[in-house]
Amino acid sequence: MTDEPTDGLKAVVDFWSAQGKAALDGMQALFGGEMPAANRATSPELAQAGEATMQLWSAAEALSAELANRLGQATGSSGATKAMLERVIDPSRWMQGHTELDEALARTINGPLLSDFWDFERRYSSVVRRWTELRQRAFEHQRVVLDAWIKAGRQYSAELAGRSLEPKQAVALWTEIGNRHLLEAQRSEPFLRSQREMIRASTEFRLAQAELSEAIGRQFGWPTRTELDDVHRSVTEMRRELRKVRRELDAARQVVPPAPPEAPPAPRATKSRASAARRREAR
Amino acid sequence: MAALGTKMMTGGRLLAALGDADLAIATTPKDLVWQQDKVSLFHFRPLAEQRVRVPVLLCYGLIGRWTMTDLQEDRSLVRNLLNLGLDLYVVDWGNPSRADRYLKLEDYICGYLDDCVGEVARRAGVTRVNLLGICEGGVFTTAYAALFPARVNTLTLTITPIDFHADTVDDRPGHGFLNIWSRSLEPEDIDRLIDATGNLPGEFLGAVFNQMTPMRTLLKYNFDLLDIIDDETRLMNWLRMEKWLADRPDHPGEAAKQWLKDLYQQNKLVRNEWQLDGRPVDLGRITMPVLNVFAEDDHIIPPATSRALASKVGSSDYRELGLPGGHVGVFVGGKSQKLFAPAVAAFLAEHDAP
Repeated sequence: MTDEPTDGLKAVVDFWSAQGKAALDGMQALFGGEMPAANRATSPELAQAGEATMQLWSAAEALSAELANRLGQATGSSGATKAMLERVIDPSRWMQGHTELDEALARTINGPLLSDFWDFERRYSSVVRRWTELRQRAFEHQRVVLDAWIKAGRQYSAELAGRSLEPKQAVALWTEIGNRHLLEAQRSEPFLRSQREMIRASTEFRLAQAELSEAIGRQFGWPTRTELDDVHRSVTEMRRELRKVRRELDAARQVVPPAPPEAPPAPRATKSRASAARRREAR
Repeated sequence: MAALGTKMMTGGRLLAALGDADLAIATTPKDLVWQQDKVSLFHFRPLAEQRVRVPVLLCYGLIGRWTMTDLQEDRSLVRNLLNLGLDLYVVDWGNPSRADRYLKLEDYICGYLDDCVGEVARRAGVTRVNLLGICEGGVFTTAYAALFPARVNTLTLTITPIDFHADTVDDRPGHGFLNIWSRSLEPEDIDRLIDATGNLPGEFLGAVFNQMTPMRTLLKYNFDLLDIIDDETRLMNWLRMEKWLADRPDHPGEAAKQWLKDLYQQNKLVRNEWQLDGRPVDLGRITMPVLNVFAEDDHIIPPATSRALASKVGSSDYRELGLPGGHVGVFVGGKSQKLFAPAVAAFLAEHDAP
C-alpha cells in the first residue's frame, strides 16, 4: 500500500478549501462589509473535516497493511492470489462503493456536490452582468430623452426672451414646446433603438433572475415557474378540448332529429254489443 | 399665494370627504347572467321601453376595461343606449393571471365571445345579435363577424384598428406611436418579453400609453390637478377617469403575441391573411350592415387605421361616423354624448329584425 490516496485526498481538500476561501473573500470584497459569521466559518471547518478524514484514513491503511501481512502468513499465498487478497482489504476499494452510494443519496436529496460549487456563482454573476447591462442601456436611453429636453429648453428660453407672460401662459408655452420636441424624439431612430435595447436588456435580466431562482428552487424541491407554466398550458389545452367536445355534442343534438313519439298501440278487436249486433244483422 | 392656499384648503377638504362609493364607476344596474372561467356576461336592466328587439352585445378588448363606457351618470354610453330603448349586454374578460398566459385570441373570439353571443341570442329568443365592439374588442367582433356571419345582425365598431400600418397615412405628430413602437421591435423581442413575464403586464402597456402624451403625463398630477382641485365636479370627473386608468388587467401572453406580431407588425387583418383556429378571417365575409365609428383626433387609433375597413368589407351597407374628440373622449366627452348613442340607436333600429 502506498501513501498516494492520503496525499491525493489531502491535496483535494487543500485545493477546495483554498478555492472556497478565495470565492468567499472575493464575494466579500465585491459587496463590502463583513462576511456573515456562518460563511467565515466554512473554510476552517472544511479543513478540520478533511484533517479528521485523513487521520482515519491513515488508521485504515495501517490496519490494511497488518491484515495483508496476516493473510499472507495464514494462506501462504503469493503472486496473483496475494495481489487479489491485498485488493480485497485495500481501504480505497472499500470507499468506492460507499462513494457511489453517497453520490446517489446526495442527488436524491438535492444536496449540492462539490462539482456544483460554481453553478450558483455562475448564475448569480449572470444576473449581476445583466443588471449592469440594463443600467447601461437605461443610461443610454435617458441620454436620448435628455437631449430632447435640452433642445426644448433652449427653444423655450429663446421664446421667453423679451416677453411678459402670465404664469399659466408660461406653463402652456412650455407644455407646447416640450410636447413637440418629445413627440419628435419618440419617432426618431435613436429613441426607438435605445428603447428597444433597454427592453431587451430588461427582458434578459428578468430571464437570468428566473434561471437563478429556478436553480435554487430545484435544489430545495420547490415547484418552479417552468413546472407551473407546464400545468397552466395543460389546463388551457384541456379547456379547449372540452369546449370543442361540448360544441360537437351541441351540433350533434341539432343534426339528429328528435325521435318521434311512440305510436299508440293498435286498438284491439273488441267484442262490443254494437258490433255483435251488426254481425247478427249481417247474417 | 393666498388664492393658492385657499385652493389647496378647499381641495383638501373635498378629498378628505371622499369615500369609495363616491368614486364608483360602472354603476348602471346590471345582472350577471353567464360565467365561464374568468369571463362574465352581464345584462343591463332597462331604463326605458325597449324599442329595438335584437339585443346588443358590447365587447371591449383585453387592454383596459369596458367600464369606461359607463364612467358616470352624465358620461355613460351605456346609459345613453339604455335610455334609447336598447337591450344591452356587456362581456367582462376578468383579470387574467399567469395561469391564463396560454390563452390565444381564438379562445376569446371563437370561444368565450361565441358562447356569449349564443347566450344572448338564447335569452332574447333571436338567432342573431347586434355586436358593438370597442378598440381591441372591435377587432374581436370584426373577426367574429367574418367567421360567424350568420350569428351577427349588425356590426358596430368604435375606434377599431383594421389596417395597423395606416398610421403613416396622416402621419400626425404624436399619433400612432403604438404602431411605430411595435414595428421598432423584432418579433423575437416580443416573444422574449412575453416569455419573461408570462403575460403582457397592464402597467407596461400603461407606461407605453403615457409616453404618447409626455407633457400631459408630467403635468397631470401637479399643475392639472391643482387647476381643478377646488372644483368638485371637475375633480370627481378627473378622479373617476383616474380610477378607470388605474384598472389595467394583464393581457394574456399568447394573445398578446398575436396582437403585436400578427396585427401590429405583420398587419394580417387588413390583408385577409389572419387565421384563427386555422380558419382565415376574410373581411369580405362581413356582409351584415356595418357602422364604423372613429374619433377624429384619436392619437392611439388614427382614423385611417379604422376607415381602412371601407374597401375591405363585403357588406353593401357600410357607413362611417367621425366624432369629435380623442380615443377616450369619444365616450366621455360632452359633445359625443349627444351624437354617439343616438347614431348607434338609429342604425340598430333601422336594421331591427321584425
